Amino acid sequence: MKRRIKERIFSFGYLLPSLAGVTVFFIAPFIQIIRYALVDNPVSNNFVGFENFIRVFNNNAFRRAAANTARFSAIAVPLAVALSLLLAMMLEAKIPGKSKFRTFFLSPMMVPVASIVLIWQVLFDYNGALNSVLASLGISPVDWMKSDYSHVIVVLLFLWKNLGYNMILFMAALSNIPKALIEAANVDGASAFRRFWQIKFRFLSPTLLFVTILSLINSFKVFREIYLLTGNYPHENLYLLQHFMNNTFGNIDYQKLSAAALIMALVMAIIIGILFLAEGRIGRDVEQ
Amino acid sequence: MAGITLKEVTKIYPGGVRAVDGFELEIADREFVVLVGPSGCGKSTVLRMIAGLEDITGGQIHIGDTLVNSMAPKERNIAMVFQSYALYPHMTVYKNMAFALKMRGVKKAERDARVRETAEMLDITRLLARKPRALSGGESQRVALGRAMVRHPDVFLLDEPLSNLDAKLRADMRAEIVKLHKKLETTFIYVTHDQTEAMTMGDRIVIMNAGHILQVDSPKDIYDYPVDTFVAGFIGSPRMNFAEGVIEKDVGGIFAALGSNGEHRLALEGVNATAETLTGLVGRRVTLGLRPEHMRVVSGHAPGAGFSGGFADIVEVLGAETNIYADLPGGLRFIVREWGDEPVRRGQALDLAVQTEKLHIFDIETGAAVTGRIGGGAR
Repeated sequence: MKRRIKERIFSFGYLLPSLAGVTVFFIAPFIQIIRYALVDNPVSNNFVGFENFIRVFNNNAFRRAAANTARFSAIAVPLAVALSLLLAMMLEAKIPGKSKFRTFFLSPMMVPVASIVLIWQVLFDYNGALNSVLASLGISPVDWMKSDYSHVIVVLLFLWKNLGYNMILFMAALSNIPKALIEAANVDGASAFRRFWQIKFRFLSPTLLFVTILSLINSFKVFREIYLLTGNYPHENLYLLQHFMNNTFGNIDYQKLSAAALIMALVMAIIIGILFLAEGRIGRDVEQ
Repeated sequence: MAGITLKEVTKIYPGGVRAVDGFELEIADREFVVLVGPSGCGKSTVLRMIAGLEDITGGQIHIGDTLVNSMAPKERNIAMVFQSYALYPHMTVYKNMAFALKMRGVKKAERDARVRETAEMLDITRLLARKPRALSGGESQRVALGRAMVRHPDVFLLDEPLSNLDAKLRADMRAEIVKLHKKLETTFIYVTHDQTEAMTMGDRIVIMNAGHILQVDSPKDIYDYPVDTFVAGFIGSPRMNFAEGVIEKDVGGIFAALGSNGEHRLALEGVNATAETLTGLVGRRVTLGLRPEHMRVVSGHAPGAGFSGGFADIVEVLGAETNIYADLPGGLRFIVREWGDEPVRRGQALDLAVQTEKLHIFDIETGAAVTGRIGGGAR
């Protein structure tokens, strides 16, 4: 009995440093945000219920930002997952120059965001490379980042930056699938498509979940690139939730900011929860 | 149902490793052939090439009359049982067994009938609704066999299917697979590194080493007439005793002198070699081989028919039999197998009587057998 208490104290002691960090930097601010979201302002502290949330929901900028963010994630995340899986499966096949391809797809990870933005600017600026190519073909230039194409360009940027890492994760997962199972399915007469759906897909499901969540988080982070490319007020297609938050923060409207942040956290939690449930079903029995 | 012919089959892996080299074998329809050899000898590669899971670098493989070199595994109508069983973890036993039939477009009613019939045969009906993780090793093994059987394949390929089972279960399954082979009347090719499995299961045994076939024979013939020291040492437990000696001749006839100073003389009367062969060996150094059960612990023996002056260094009592590690003058050390009660105690002096007609003589350089079944020369 005494020993168990002693062990408890010890294990708590080992947990303490990271627990302290998480408390100071995540849990405490989160509680603070909940408080902010429910008061009229942080100084007078009058409880106003859900008024801030209603304000946020009725805010046009928020609606536009939420819609843009949802659209961006809905396009970019499935693409990032599917394309990186496809790449991983292609590189899994015996092709010459495999390791060079791998390095090629990984290299964007090594480039700092500022440099990536610079490259993108050189390409898509009004006076950029793409427009001069078009001009030489007699096509009038387009201000890409201020056009409807800007959304597509940012999706491309996102994919270029994220495919490599996702691909490595998928390659690791693919190599962990028991070879004998694939061979058994092969002998059993399953086509390549069936082998993928019936066997590989099951074993990939934990990685699929992980890569999807990672891509989702990264898709929220794409703000950084857009901000560096276009500043505080980009083309209305590119006005994301983080722009909204950033600008609200600039206006020192903490209540609105906190309410928006809570809504976003809630939506993220729901999406990730659904993903976990789905993975639990597909990946059941497969994980050791 | 089909026989299999392998002609000059070669497998060279990228990097130049010759895993299988010039493999020639004809397997009759309904035959049970065991490929056996140490790990890395190429036996599994041969099996996988027959299955189509491994490309063939050179040569031809026929199943029945069909050249299958470039056929996909599913077109070959073979079934394979894997060492790891390779059951699909997310499917029930029933679905595991029905999978191949479904892939082949067999109708649901027939699928069901065949799965149930096979399950009945293997006594696994009660497991049909379970998933693989809820099965024991032995049960998984049966399901893996069942999954292969439902398809009624032309050929069964079994890749070390029993090596993950414990000893008792292994012995049971050994007998069961042999029975199954009789019942199914299909060609079985079985890969193992376990010589007991090879001896007890195969109609014929193929012994391989370093990508080559060393000998193809019935278990009994492999045991009695090994073609070289490798085969002689590989089959049999405890393994055959080897000792170097010189073949000499005097008035009494031809004999072998063993021991560092030629202390021991074995008359070569009755060995499986012609007089010419033996005469040709006179004056040459050879490797002599004697199986543990072809010697007996005695006190005193006829001249030229054994070894004297030894003692029992280690005595292993196994119940029905006893293994005695005998140290003899001249640096010889032999294992002798005796049946029944402990014939000698540790440290006790002993002599060994030899059944000289069971003596094997091998070329000291090539290891090839000089003695053989026709009473003359290696085959």
